[in-house]
Amino acid sequence: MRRPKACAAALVISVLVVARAASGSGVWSSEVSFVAEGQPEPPLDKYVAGNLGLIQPNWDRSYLYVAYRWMEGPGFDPDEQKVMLAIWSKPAWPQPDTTPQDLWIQARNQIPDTTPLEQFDSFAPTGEFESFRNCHDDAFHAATATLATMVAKFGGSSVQAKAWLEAQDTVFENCPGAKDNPHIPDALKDATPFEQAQRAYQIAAAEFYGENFDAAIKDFNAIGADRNSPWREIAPYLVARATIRKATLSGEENDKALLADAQRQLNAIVASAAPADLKTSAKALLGFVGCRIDPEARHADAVHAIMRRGDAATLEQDLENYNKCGTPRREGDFPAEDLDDWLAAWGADPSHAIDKWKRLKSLPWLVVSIAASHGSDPEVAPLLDAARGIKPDSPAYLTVEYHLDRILLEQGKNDEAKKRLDAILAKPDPLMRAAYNAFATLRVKLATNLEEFLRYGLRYPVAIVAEGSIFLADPDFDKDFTDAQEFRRETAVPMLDRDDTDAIDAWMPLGILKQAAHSSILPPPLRGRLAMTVWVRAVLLGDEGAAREMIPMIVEFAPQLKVSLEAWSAAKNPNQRRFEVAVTMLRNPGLRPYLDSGFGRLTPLDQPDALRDNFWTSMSPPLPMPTPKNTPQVVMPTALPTPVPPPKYPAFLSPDERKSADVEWDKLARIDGAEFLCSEALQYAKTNPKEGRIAEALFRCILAVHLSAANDHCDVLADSAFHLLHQRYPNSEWAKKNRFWYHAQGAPWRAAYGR
Amino acid sequence: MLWAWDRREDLGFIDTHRVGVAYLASTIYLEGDGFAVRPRQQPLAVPRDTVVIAVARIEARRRPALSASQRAAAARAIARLMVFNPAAIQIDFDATRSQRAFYRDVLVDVRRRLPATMPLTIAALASWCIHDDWIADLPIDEAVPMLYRMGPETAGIASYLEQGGDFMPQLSRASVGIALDEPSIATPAGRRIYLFSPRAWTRQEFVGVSSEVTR
Repeated sequence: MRRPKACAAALVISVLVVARAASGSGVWSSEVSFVAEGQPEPPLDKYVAGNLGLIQPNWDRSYLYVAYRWMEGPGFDPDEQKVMLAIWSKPAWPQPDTTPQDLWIQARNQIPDTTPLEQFDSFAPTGEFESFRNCHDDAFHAATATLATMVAKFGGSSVQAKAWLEAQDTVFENCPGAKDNPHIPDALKDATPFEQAQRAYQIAAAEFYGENFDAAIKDFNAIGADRNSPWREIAPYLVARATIRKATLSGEENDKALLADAQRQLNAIVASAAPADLKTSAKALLGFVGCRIDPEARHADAVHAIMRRGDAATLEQDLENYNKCGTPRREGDFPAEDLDDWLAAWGADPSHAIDKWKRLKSLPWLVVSIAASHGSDPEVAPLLDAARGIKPDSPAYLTVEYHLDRILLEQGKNDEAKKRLDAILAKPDPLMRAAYNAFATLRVKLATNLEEFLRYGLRYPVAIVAEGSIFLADPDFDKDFTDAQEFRRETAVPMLDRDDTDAIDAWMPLGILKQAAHSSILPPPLRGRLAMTVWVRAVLLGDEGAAREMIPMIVEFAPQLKVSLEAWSAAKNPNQRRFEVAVTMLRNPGLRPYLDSGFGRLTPLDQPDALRDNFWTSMSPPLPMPTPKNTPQVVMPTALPTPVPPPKYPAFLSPDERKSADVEWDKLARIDGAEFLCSEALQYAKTNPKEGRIAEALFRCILAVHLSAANDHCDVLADSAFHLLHQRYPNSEWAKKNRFWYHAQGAPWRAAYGR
Repeated sequence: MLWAWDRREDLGFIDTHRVGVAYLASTIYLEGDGFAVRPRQQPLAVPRDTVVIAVARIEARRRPALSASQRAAAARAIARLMVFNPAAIQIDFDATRSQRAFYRDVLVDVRRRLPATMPLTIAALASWCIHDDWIADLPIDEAVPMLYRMGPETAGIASYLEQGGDFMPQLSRASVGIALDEPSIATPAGRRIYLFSPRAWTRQEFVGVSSEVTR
């Protein structure tokens, strides 16, 4: 599979929340996600069986409908569950659908001496802005079959076949819309009754697609009365279709009298001795017509149908009707049907949801109300009381429990929150990844020691987002996908989420980080990454002891660093040691004093990242989120509340440890990677011109400024390194490889590490 | 400008002297070698003299081939929007890096099919207008930077704009797109605002937003 990559140099942290590729747009994130976005976490058979996990407001309506039905009572029997799984397994977007037209074009282009035709539009405009599918697949199927009949009967090069084809091309010229100037084939004279019947049908069809419906109705009626026409049987059905189109396309509102006419025509077909497939089509059209004659009643019927248990055979069609048929009736500002109202309540003003819960006291309304509430809300107490009464066997248990615990934390009721969270996390079996991650995110805020912090800081990937596609951590994920195995391997190991790496990077002292690097709670690769972070941080802070302590762990994880680290360790004086640091880091753009969340930096340690995710940028002065001034502002807080306040010191840190964290941060935050490393290299070059690695260090310094989010000060350094390299070492391989120095491109932004 | 997505929208309440509508007129799907197009099928009501822009959104799904035939089909479907007599045509395609060459070809093809007087614009990822500028020489009249759904870059872009930063390509300095369901961020003054709502517009919502935007 495609390995996700960090987005840009300045983004030395990763992402907690996935940006969905839904309507609207945004920057592609290519990251690991620890939450279930868009849909519940797979496998969905558990979900549809009532294990709802942690319900998210941004799930597709069909998933929320399932949650509602479980919470409201009926649930789904095994057959109904199969239907829902089948619905979800279908692609959520239209499939390429031009095949029938392609087949038609392919067939007609084979007729000798015809001008080849290309694909054409099947949709015609209706109204000012909308379109409708004018020529359906069955039109192309019928044309292809009739052409074959004509060729079989008269021969492909015959006058008859060519005349029919010419007329048929005229018929399809109406497909993109020709209401004002329909293309109608000429009537046929001096031909056999068969040819005459075919032409009559083509004329009627052209009238139909050209939206001349009165003429089409008249012509189809005539065809129905023609005993010699091969189209006689289907003609009444086409009369009904033309009537429906006239009723729905001729004015701004549907003509209900005409629709009633069509309803009678279709009922007559259903009651007649017409072939079964024609009756089936007529029944489908009857549904369509019914939705338009009484849209509110039909919608209400659809709601009742999809809430009724035991109708697996009709569930898919009922859902189709619910989504596409009719109009929800409204009571005041809100939908009258409870399901419609509940689906609309997610992300909307919570006051209506709370009012509804107060009136109904139903589980679905408790869920949507508590999910939108905060600890400081005046009316939250009754919601919390109700939440405490939800039993573990309730389908809403995990969702209600999560929000209860979140609100308790917001209220500072840490003891109760901790007790509840520990009870949930002590039996993680029922928790799938997304729910576990959510509860762990709350619990880590209450960590009383480093061990708890690391244990609950680890999360399990739910999805990987790469270039806009969401790859779910599904055990059955895309079996045909050749890299599925790699995907499963990559998502099997727990990782640190952004809130934890923020705390590690900005709020913990080196002494604690050193302990963390030794902790067996962390998976080995993460331990190795943390050891490298600690080493960089220690050398920047001048704590050689801590740096040396990390070397064995680093070498185990990244043996290629062994020589460099031993050279640093064996350096004879502080100046040489500083130079060894500079060379080691310049050779390894992935070394940095901060720990990345998720996968971390995916480019190999010693390779420059193409998107400037190299070295690190200074964090001082801090860049807070802006308060817009004199500029357009729109604040419509419809998203659910974030679960916890921004990270601060982990609660278990002592006052001295907090002070150390502050002192270290003040120093670290001022250091810009490229600036620091270039300065060190240039400084050493001044006093040690004959050191064999100076030319290489200067070369890499120029690259570091070029390929990182270096600040403006680095221009001078890159310029100096460039001239020194070419003046002092003109014959070195490094000077030969270099022709330019580059202005620092800076970071148009940089990530703030929580401070 | 109000972005009106493909859902039933009644925008009869807008003041057409101040507000226009960019409506989703067509969605184009690319998947494998296949191509599908879904023109707008939901009704849209606007006052008679409203300035309307027809928007075509391109959705590239599983491993799109990005073939010449898909390019031609997409361009043909977009150029077809001329039948609605829009004031401009806008394309919305969140092209990944590997899809940019295809997108460029589509724009060239569309431009060729449109009359020279028909403005062609795109909805652009904010990053394209700041640090990842590949759009400056596209054959378009305007790029609208979308300051929402920005994922991990949100805070950085907000900081950049707050500090007075502006979008890099000149063609992205006339407008800006924001969404109602995300906290707003500072934008350079004097820009045309495109507003995206995750739900159908209501008069109440519009009035609230309108007063905020003009403040």
